[in-house]
Amino acid sequence: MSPVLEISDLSVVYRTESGDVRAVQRVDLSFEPGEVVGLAGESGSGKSTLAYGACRLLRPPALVTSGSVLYRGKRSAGPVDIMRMNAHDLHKLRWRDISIVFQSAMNALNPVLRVRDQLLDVIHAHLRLPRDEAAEKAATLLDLVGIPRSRLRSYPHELSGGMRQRVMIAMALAADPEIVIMDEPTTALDVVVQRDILAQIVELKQTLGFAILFITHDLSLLLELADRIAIMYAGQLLEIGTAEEIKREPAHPYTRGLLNSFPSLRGPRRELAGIPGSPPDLRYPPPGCPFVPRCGFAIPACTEVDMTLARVPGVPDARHVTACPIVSLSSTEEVAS
Amino acid sequence: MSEDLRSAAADRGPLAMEATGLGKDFKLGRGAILHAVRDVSLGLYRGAVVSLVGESGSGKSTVARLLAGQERPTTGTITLDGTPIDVRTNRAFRHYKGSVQLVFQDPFASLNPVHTVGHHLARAVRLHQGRGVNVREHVIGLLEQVRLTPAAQFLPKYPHELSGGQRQRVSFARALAARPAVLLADEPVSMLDVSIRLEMLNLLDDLCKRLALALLYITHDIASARYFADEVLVMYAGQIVERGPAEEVTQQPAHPYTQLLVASAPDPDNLGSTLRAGNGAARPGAGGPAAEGCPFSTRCPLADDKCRVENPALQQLTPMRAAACWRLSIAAPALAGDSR
Repeated sequence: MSPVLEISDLSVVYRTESGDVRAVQRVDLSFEPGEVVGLAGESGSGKSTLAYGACRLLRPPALVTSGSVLYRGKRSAGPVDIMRMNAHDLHKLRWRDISIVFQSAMNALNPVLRVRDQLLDVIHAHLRLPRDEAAEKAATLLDLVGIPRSRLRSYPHELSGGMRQRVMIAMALAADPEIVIMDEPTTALDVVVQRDILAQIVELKQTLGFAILFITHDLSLLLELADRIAIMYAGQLLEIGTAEEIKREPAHPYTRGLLNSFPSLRGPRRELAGIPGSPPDLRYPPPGCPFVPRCGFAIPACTEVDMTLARVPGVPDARHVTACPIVSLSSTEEVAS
Repeated sequence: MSEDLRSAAADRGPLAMEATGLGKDFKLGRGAILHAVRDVSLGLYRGAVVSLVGESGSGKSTVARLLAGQERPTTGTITLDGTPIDVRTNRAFRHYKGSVQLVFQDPFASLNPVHTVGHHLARAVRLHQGRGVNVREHVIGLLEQVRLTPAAQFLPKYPHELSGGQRQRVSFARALAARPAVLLADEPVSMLDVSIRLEMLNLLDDLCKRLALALLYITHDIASARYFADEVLVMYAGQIVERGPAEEVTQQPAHPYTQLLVASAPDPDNLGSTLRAGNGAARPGAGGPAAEGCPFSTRCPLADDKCRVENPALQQLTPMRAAACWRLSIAAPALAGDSR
């Protein structure tokens, strides 16, 4: 199957007075239809910039400096490059083919409009429907996410945080998109509500068949949810692999550090280490691997390496890739320890 | 609650602060009253970490504000080193603040953006240590305690020049300037990145042991409480529904709410989980706490008629554990058997 979305060599900088901040550097990432791809990274690692950049949603001072984003949808004839689209096509693509559940849904809804009017806004902007059909569509969207229809008349402040998040998801699904980008959709919610919403997302995905780019800082969540996980650090992807591979055979030292950073609730108590230090200033990115200053395994060659994702040696899956040069230089036994 | 329930934190050191039967009501207007905190009793011991776990709106931050003297309790008493506290005058309040310090969640909001690190700390030192001391020396000492070194380099920095973790360290240092006996930390790491959370928790733990602080760690993350706390208190709708040693409560939860919390936490070992299989079918929007009876009865799978009418009190299960539930014989048969 060919990927539904293929991001290649995407770079984004933020122009500032003190120089360019290289927020995203030469990222390659692709999505199969119906796949859940998790993008994990710390704040400031460029996860959201990558997603918004790929949809051309960034405004100056952000600037996409290189790359292509090929989209092969069922509604388009052949692959189209989002980076080269004209405004008209872009408008048609957005929300109908690729939609977004924005970060902090608590504040993403308009507080002075009823839920129904906000859903209708989306429907009228992206679908051509007669008024009565649009109203029915808004109601079925709420059915989809398990909110009673009586809530159509509610204002956002009358809904709980979980319900507001569900409304946001309903909105993103209005035009039956092929890809839904979810930017930290459950971060502000309580764990119990979070779990309900994630279960709902998975269920909807299975019925409707859209692919998901799930952006979060919570790697433990992704291990449960995602098919594949991309680890982002300082604007670059350091590793991509299936959830099993990331969990059981993490190749990059940063991935291993992340896995060792969150306390687990189950199983024996492990010694936890965390990762000392902080990410580099992206105005002056260090040469080579950006993780070198915090990495316990770094060798001099790490500062000269060209950051490209290469297959992890000794692993049967050719799609498990990492940018760590030590991993590609040494045997896997050393890496696993 | 049974009188002879012993706190798992009591083994660590002497009792510093004790709250008994603490309650706080807020008037909502039109005669409605919100019972934000109901009959909460807890003890904080020097060198020990007690964790208050609950979802947003459960009243855990209100407990912190009551203990910090920033709200006056509607019912109940708070004692510090055996003396009931009285913060009705400014003087008494300031004296109290010397012993009990609060650290907030958001290090971006809790520091003044127009003042330097040195200014923040020097002000706290002057306020709490009097005029005769060498302020600069004190401030440097504080920065070293929270491992912001070389300390002199941090003095002239403004909050925006620091990372989130460094800012939170400054908040810790400011709290320590008062040389408190009790530190109340309200979600101290929730705003920080995963990779530095652990470092901060280890720092807090270290400070707690080294300075013999009695630490209250408030969080919604029950997994971090397992690693960090001696005793865990689980709050729901203003009440403590379960308490006991951290490892026992998280590994063998007795109350249906604690069981739900534990089951809902992301489980990285659970690859190919219920989530991806899609059989964790979405439940109908969970209701708010019940106004009558057990507050959890609206969401509890075990709730029966009694639960909907009568609010259960904490019932002792083992020498160090208690839970407030009528259906413990079904929710936690192994533990309920021991209670007689």
